[in-house]
Amino acid sequence: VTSEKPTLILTDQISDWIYTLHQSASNLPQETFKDWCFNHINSLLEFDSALWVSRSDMEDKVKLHWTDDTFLFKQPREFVDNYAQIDARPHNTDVLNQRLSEAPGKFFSVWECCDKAQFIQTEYYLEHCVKYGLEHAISALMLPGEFSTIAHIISFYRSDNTHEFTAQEKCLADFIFPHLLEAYSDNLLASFKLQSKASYRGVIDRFGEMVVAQSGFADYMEEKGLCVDSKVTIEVISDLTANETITVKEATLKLHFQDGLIYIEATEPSPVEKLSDRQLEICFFIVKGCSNKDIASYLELSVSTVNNHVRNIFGLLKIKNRAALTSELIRQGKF
Amino acid sequence: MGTAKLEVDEKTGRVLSEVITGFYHYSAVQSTAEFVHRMMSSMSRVIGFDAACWVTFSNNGLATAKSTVHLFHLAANFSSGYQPFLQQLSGSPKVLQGPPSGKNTSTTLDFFGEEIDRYLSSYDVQQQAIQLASFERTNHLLCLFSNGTVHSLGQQQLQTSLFLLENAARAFEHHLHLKLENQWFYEGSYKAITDLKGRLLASGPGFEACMTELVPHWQNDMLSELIEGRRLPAKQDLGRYKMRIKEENGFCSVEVYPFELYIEQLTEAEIDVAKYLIKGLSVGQIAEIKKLSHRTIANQQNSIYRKLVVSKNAEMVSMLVKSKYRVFFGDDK
Repeated sequence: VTSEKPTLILTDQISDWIYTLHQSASNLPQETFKDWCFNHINSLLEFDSALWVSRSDMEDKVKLHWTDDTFLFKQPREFVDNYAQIDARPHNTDVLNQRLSEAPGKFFSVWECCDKAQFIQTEYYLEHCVKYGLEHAISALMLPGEFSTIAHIISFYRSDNTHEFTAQEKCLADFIFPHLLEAYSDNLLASFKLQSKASYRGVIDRFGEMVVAQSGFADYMEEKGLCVDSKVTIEVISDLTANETITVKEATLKLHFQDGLIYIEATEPSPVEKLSDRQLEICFFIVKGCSNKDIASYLELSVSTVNNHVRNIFGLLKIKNRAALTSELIRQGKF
Repeated sequence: MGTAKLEVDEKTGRVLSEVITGFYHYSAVQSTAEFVHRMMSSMSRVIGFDAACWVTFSNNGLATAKSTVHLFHLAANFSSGYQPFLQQLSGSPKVLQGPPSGKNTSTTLDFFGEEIDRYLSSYDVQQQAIQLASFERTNHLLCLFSNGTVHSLGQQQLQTSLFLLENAARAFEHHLHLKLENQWFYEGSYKAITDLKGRLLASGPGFEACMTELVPHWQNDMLSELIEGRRLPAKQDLGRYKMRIKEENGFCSVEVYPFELYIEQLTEAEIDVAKYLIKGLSVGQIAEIKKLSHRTIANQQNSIYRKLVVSKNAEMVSMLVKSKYRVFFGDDK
């Protein structure tokens, strides 16, 4: 441990790095984004392999499964199973997990919180670190927002045991971490295939916790009673892995399951959809600018029938005049 | 003058990281004015200035009276009197011609003169620093002011604000790119954003290729001629394309849409109706010929209008005639 105060040197290269990160976030598909990120980080920070976990509620579930919410960079898939086996045995990695949640957003190395001589005797070191070349590692945990229940853990590994991460490098990793999270949530929202403009988008995990949501999504879901304390009541979704459109409590939810996350597009059906064919026909003439009298003569109806129809339409759409009706109908893509 | 290189301690690093994350977070807001204001206010929390003025201009041209100016804690009439100074400033080679590489350069300079001091004191502010950052297509001049007594910024603070401004310039370009991806008036059109003089700040994919095809010897500065000469917003007919120019928050959004693309959206039945319509037949007559109800034809006519984004028959006819689209006028053979 160095007693020197670490410094961070900020240059154009870092500014460009951040810019490229955000540009790519809005262009790249979600499946390749994390992989792209690690390649991109490699231009600033040297490492051999890495790991990025995004999941909710660390306290309870940290030991349950390390499956599809773990992204591995240059490590085989079995890395996760191997870790889970070791982690299941008592008191192996507790000290590391504890350190993670103590100082969010701050990278630390294993050597900072363990006695090195002792650590290299542990099962964790012998059966995991040695096997996968994790001689030097720095990790950090971060919550993307103050109230977020989704935690992200990123670790960088080096297999060369003479090449330790310096204080400067940890500082740099701290600097770029928030940008990764910001870009990651942008990327999730950008990878939505939108059905309609008048909708709210959100991405939740399998426990209903919001990974990222467009402004208004949480309010809308809460209003519909589909969301409590910014946690989506997951029970309304019968099959978590299906891509389907369901209607619950007058809200239409278009669901898309991918990589352990559920993409939700919530749309309120427009009252225009409730109009009958006859009412729509009358709307057509109103939009054209016809008077009730004109409409009556076109459709061979009495003027009072048309009056009734028009009043019903206004009532259904909760509007007061013909101009508002016209603009609403055109906005909804009728006519 | 050269590349900004800033050395900070761990804590400051975190603060700066947070501020820059904020820039990109805000970049998704619709309004450019709101975006710039939010950036300035988060910068002011770190650097300590009381008022500021942010001028954005294209790499193709100097800051002029028509450049876009955003004010922070300054009265709205501030910019009109400040413009001449800016113009003078931007004319100075020291500002606009950085190192020969010309890319990603920044300059910090103190710009004090008696005249400007007198002007500024009428607004109760004093100049702290003027900084310039350029990135790709936009230049950004940030003038920092303090209230009352000048507490001049230290070297470290100047470097910090410059670093933030550089990142803000990048976030600004990102903001323009996001704007281009948004839904505009026409679906599938080619889009660009210019300053009020028509100098290109950002363009969407295909815009330049489309203009090159459209206008012989096309150059980006030719947009200025189109935009300056007319009242905004405007719609301009350019043969097989339409151009829509709209002024918003001190920027122009330019949209070029080839309406041949729109004709492709028409169904066969609609094309059939359109063929009669351009010959001048009424809906009633078409209904009679096709032995369909008046309503059906009227519906089809409406969907044609909607798909071609026109509002009346004459407009549709002129569009179809200009398109010389083979469906309507026989094959090219």
